[in-house]
Amino acid sequence: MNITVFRIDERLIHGQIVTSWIAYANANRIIVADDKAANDEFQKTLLQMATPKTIELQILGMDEAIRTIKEDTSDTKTLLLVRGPKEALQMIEGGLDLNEINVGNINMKKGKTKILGNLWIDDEDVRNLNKIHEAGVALEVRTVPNERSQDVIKLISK
Amino acid sequence: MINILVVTHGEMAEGIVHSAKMFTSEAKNVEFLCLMEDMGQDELFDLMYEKMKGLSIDEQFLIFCDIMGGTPFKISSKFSFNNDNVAVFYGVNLPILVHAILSRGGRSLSSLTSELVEVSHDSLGLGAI
Repeated sequence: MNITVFRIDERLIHGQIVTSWIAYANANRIIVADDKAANDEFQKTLLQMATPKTIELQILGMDEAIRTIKEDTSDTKTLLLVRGPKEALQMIEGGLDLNEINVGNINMKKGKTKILGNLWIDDEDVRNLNKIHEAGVALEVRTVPNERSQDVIKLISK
Repeated sequence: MINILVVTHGEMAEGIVHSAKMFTSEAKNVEFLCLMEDMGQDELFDLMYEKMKGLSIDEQFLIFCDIMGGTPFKISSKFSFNNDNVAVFYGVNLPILVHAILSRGGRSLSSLTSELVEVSHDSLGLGAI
């Protein structure tokens, strides 16, 4: 499988994905790697509903996603979505050979600090993002492809 | 009377509700919620929950959203899931919203939504002049 975009997005599949990232990734498939969604029938129905009919959607638990990606030797262009930095790190530590992550939405929650409108982080997020960076994976933040790309590590170490 | 709630990305919801009132004059029970850029989806859920309190057979809701699969659509669907008193219609535009406001009187939610689906096909197109 050819992962053309690997994205952190708390909202998983939503408007920005449907209207722009699928086209940008030239994707024929979306993999949502998320334990919560994989075990929630309602979430799964919603995600399926949100996905254009021409795109194949797989909603997998984290471990299953890692296994599936490693075992698939096809050239299918794929958009890979995870919920947060912790899950992204899990994918990297699981041995996936990916060198760039797009950070889309890490939203406001109590106790988080605002970096950008779409980027709110706490200490745990910072630790996880730094670990991803130390593993040699570039982190850029952009909500939509046309936006200016910014370096996440630079932003959070200010 | 069927309550109408318009929920969109950004201020479109506020704008379209105001625009609709140019055609319907004062319309009761037509409300809007705007998902702003730095708003979490939980916050949108809470705001929507406030609007939907007291839901009963006499308090039906028709929720209009913008993009199929977008966050407003997904949060709205949490309220319509297994609930006949809430319907979600995506791809809202001005003719559809005006039609809904003007023809909701004395109607059941399901009859109104089936009519909107039919009418919606004529609400978009290329002007042939």
